[in-house]
Amino acid sequence: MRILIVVSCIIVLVLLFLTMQVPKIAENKIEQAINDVQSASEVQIEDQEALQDVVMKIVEQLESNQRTRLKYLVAAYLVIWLVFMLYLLRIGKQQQTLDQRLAQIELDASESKDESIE
Amino acid sequence: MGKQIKILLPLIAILLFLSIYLIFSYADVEVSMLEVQKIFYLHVSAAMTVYLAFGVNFIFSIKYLIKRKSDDDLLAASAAEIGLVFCTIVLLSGPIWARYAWHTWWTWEARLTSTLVLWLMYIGYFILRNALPADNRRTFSAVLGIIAFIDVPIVHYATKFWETKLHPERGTKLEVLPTIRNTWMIVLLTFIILFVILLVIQYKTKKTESRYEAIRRKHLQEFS
Repeated sequence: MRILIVVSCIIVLVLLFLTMQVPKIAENKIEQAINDVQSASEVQIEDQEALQDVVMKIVEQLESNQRTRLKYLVAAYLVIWLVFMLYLLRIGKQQQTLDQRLAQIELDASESKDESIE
Repeated sequence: MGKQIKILLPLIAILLFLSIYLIFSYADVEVSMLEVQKIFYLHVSAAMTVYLAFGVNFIFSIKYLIKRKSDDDLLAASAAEIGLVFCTIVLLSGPIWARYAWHTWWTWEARLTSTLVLWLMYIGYFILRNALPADNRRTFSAVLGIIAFIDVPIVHYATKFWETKLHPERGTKLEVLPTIRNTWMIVLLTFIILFVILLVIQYKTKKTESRYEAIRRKHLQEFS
């Protein structure tokens, strides 16, 4: 039981770690990519600043969309993990109660045995 | 803890890690739903495990009514309990998917509604078990287990019966990438093994509980 709980905790931590890894593209890399594309193609855009602005906004939008999707993904996995954890805790508590009851019944049995001997 | 469980526990630990690795690193990102599609691996696998769990409940409920062995009743109740846990997972992960895909948390679509009815029926199964005295409990819950199972094929074929467009219809040939299919197979296997482990644990606990109750009753009779 403990193994399952530990494994599930590790899985959740791994998931959270993975979600934090949304790659943010650096500005200089975007600039470099615009220059590379322009030098490779015949089309030249004169207003470089406006072009960079538009591309930056597109990249930001795409990154924001990805973060939203990952939020849904993590929410679903967390809910599933929570249900499993609650169920495992319930099983653990059930077994603990049962152990206590069995110990009590053993104690009662030994006490009644002693009384009958006396 | 039984020998079988001791063998299955490391196996399930490995499979859980493998599943997570496959979902996030191996499986391709599906083009229409992108990262959100990765909910599918757990959602659909949980739904399949629900069928299996309630199927086990159905078989052992029938067996109990024929042979009247208390072990069959305990196995049926254990399977129903685990099935209910997996059904809760289906009902909670589904709306998260739906919010992104259909822009709503819930809709009274045939499959969603029949799954909710299935969940409520098995909730009723446990309410009945707890409410009835020990003598009647087994027979009545076995009968309810058999009746509740009728909803499983309804859930499965709901998209065909009511021709809804939200869930893909049964028999629809979807072009699934091999990486997605392989990952789903491993996750499904993981869930099935997890179900078997939980079933054995629950069955043993319930059996010990019923033995304890029998001893307690015997003691009470002796003292009175």
